Amino acid sequence: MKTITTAAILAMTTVLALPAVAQDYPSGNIEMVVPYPPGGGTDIPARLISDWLTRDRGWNFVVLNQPGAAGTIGLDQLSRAEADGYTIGIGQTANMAINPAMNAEVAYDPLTDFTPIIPIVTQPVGIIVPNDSPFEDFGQLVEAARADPGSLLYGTPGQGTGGHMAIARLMQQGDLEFEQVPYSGIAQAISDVMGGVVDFYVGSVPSVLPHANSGSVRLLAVTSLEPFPIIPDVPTVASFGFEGYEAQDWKAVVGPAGMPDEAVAALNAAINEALQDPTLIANFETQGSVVMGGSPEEFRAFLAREVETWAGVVEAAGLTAER
Amino acid sequence: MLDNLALGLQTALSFDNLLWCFVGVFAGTLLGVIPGIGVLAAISMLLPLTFQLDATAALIMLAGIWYGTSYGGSTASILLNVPGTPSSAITALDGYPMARQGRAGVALLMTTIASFTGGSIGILLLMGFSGSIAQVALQFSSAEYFALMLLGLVAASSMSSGAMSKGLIMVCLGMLFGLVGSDVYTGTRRFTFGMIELADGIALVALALGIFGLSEVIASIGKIDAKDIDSRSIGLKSMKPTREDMRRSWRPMLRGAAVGSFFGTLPGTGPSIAAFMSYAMERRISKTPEKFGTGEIEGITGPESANNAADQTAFIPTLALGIPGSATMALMLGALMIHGIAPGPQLMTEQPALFWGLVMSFWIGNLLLLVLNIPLIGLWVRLLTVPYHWLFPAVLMFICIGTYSVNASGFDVLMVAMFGILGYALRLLNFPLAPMLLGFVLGPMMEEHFRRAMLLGRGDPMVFLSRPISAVVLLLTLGLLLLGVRSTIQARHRQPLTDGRASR
Repeated sequence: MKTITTAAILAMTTVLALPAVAQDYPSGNIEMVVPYPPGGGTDIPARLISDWLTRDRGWNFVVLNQPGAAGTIGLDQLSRAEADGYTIGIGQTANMAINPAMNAEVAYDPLTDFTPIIPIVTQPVGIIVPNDSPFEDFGQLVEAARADPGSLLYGTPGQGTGGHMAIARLMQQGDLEFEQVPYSGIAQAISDVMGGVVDFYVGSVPSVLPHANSGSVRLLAVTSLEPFPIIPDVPTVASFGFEGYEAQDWKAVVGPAGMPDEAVAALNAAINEALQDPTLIANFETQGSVVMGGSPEEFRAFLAREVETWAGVVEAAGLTAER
Repeated sequence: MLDNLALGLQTALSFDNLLWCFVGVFAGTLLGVIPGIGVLAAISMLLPLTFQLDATAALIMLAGIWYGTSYGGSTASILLNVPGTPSSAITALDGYPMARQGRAGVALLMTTIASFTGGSIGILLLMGFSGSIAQVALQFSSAEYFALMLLGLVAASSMSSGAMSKGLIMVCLGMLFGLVGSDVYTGTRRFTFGMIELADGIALVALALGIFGLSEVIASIGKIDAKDIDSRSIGLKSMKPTREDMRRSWRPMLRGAAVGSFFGTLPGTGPSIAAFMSYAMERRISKTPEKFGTGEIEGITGPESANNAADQTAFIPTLALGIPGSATMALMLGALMIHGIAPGPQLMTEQPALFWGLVMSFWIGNLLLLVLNIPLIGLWVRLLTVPYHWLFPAVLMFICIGTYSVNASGFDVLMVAMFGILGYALRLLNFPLAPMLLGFVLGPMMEEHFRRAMLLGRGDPMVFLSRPISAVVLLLTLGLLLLGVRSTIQARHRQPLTDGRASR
């Protein structure tokens, strides 16, 4: 309580101050733009991190949800915000690596219009099948697809989501053919996979893990390169002969291009520390994601690789935007 | 079962949980009354508050807001003809005429009773049959959804009074607005004019508040004060429903609860559709359908019972299967995840105190809402004595705030303005507005489910007939259609000269 009061007083006294001197960073409210609705898979990590920083450092965060157009509206706003370190936000695979390649209205360039700060969490995509599915493991599913290309239907939470792109990449790498059935969100998709209407479903691990744990569906494979630490028994897609295959759904803190180095360093150091906190790690793990962290430079390189990979997948799938 | 109930009651009655339940329902009913600030906006705003609470208290409070708004939502619909929430837009059709006739108190009291009835039946279903209902809900795939939407559309085709053709035109207009946005299957943008803000389509809240709320505000400009309301109609006595009101209301309430419970359970449909369907059903069953829209009590008690029942049964897929049926339900599961609890089917067995505590808090919350709302009616009705030039600027402000807060989007506020002007023009031309909202809600869902069912059936339209539930619903639809045609022909036959509607 005391820290909150202190933070509030601090915030009130500094809001009126002149644009902060970088060395004193942060000396005011930091606005955290979450381009997805509250309570969702991107919102929760953002809030947990903001909450930790507020409690531990006494920094005052204001989380602003600006959902819409697969997370590109909020990110677009962020790219135009003042780069003083007091407006940051969450970028992730869909709105930084996939959608800019897919949709012409996305005005920002993921590599030049943002300052990379730190990746916070990552989660692979999980492939689930109905309980009464004939496929005992992922290998059998692939065999069936080879035997009769296009015979298997897979559900995704939507066009251009991580699940859709993960399968697009798999189809390109393994020369396979599956038919996509896009849903709008996870609710009816999960319901249909439980009911056996689709052959398999591909969605983020946090969204499929509770259902696999309760035994209402079977989780055949995950798309991380190495077995995913919280579910080490689930094989990776790569282990079925798709060398180097990987599809990650990461969430990262970014700011508008040209942020002061001091602000980037301060945020990066503080969040890196937060990501060491065992309670926070445990909390992320119950949700099905693992923490990332690292330096801004490492993140910049990672981001460049991801953007290149997914732009390639989008292009090969014939989904590129006409500009 | 008894152990669980005792555990739940014990949890729900702890001081903290009781307090947060009260906070939730109080905030909910208040935010529901204010036009524009809907449940999603209210819950998103209060979500950060729940970090400081334990998971059970957090969920109890958020749920309280969720069903509390349905109690409050009808107030502005009835008194001002401005819907407090989209799910109570339909209540304005007959509630507002009742208020004009000096029966505002009765209307408000009956909607409170209807809300309580619907809510109670919903909770009973949630308590007793969650598991089996959830299993039935799993049988519903896109073919079934499409069949249901079609049934709803046919049932509601004569929803409003006045010329049938005008109603149909408005349904089509609503559907056209519903088409705006990204195509679910290809991601292609439709009618977005390159505006990224339209990529997700037109927001329901912008359309509902624009055509119903803002257009009402515009229509009232220049009208002299609302002093044509009889002063007797705002006394406490005026709240007392007649024996006739009660007699006519209990069946709609029960039917409404049944309709609402059904649509609440299905992911993707919810209180708004439930209220629509209930209204359409009451109008179908009524011996005097032509009187609907002039202050028929069935037109408010049915839908209000339905939307509250749907509020409660929406928790069935959310809690029993871990499948959130709406954005709001997803938010509640999100609140659980923030507390480190993985939502899912195992929630009931692994967290019995949370699950049953929440369920029992629904009873407490609904009772609180009942005692909270009845005394407030007297206060709300006095709103009618406030001159419009004071009241409506405030309403306008709340509409703007409410719309903005859903997506933190200024664009949505502009959309409200546009739909307000459109709504006003349509009013002047005597076009009914409710069918437009119906087309807007059902149209895109029908398209989405039709196309998905065809995808799942690999292009074979027989998919709609080979699945038993879908086939039965489609047969019902056909029956209803034939019945409608027959009664139209008969009516023409019987009174070929006096039937104004047919010749209009």
